[in-house]
Amino acid sequence: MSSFEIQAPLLSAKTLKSIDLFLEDYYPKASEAGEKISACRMDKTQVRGLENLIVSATRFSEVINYIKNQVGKEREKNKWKEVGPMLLSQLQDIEIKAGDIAGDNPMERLDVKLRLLRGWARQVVAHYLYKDRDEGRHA
Amino acid sequence: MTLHEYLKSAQFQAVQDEALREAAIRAAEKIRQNHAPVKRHQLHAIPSIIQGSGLTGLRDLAQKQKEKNSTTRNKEFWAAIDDLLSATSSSETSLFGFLQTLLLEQGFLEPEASAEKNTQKQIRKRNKTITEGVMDDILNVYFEHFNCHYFIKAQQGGSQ
Repeated sequence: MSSFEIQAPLLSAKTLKSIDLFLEDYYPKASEAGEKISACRMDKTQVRGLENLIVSATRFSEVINYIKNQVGKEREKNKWKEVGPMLLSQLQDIEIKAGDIAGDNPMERLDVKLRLLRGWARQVVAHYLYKDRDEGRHA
Repeated sequence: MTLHEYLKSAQFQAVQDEALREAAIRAAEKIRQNHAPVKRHQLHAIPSIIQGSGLTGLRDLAQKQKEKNSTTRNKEFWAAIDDLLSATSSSETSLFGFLQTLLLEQGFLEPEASAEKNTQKQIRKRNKTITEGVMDDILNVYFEHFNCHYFIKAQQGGSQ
């Protein structure tokens, strides 16, 4: 549990709509990430680990750092190396979009980023599970 | 808002999420660019020492490591880490410098230049104490950003 007292601002209906619209538009890219994770045969526990981190993260950068750390591990057949750059690039898109939506208010930007992140993760993981099932790995 | 309240605020959390990350990335990139890469275990020592003994512990470690009879690359790496933490560093990637600028902008430090000559030294000392206190608080997050960026760059540029 974070020791921070998060005073998250109440986001306006317009902001919430902008978040939903972005996630709708971004769905094909998020699906592509899910498909790539499935194609490299990433273990389900790894994907669930990332998803759990995203749900509990209080900073957007926790997720970026987690992926960088996984990619940076020195081990043979590191599957994160295959998907990490794409995931980091998509997270960058999300961060830029959060800046567009929330503007200069740092608290609102953080809240928007985390909402976008969680929406994106739901899309990525859903598509990963769907593709993996298609391949018969989690039948 | 007091400094204590500021450090607990979402506003400061946003700083740790963005500006501090950018500062740590700049520092990691600069060290990677100017010095030969070190093995991962050198960096693994950092979070545990911060957890155990904070800024003092990390400074002691950096001092010891840079003077240790080790490889040149290790010595250079730890000298660079020591410089990041130093209050007298003139480097543009200094963590101390980054925090001083931030705290001055937020009004938690006294401007030294506009003060009378005979009080400047006292102000500098007070500012240093405040800055180091904040540094102690954010060290963990800063080195989370720093280490992870260093690791991924090591993989991309050929690890040691």
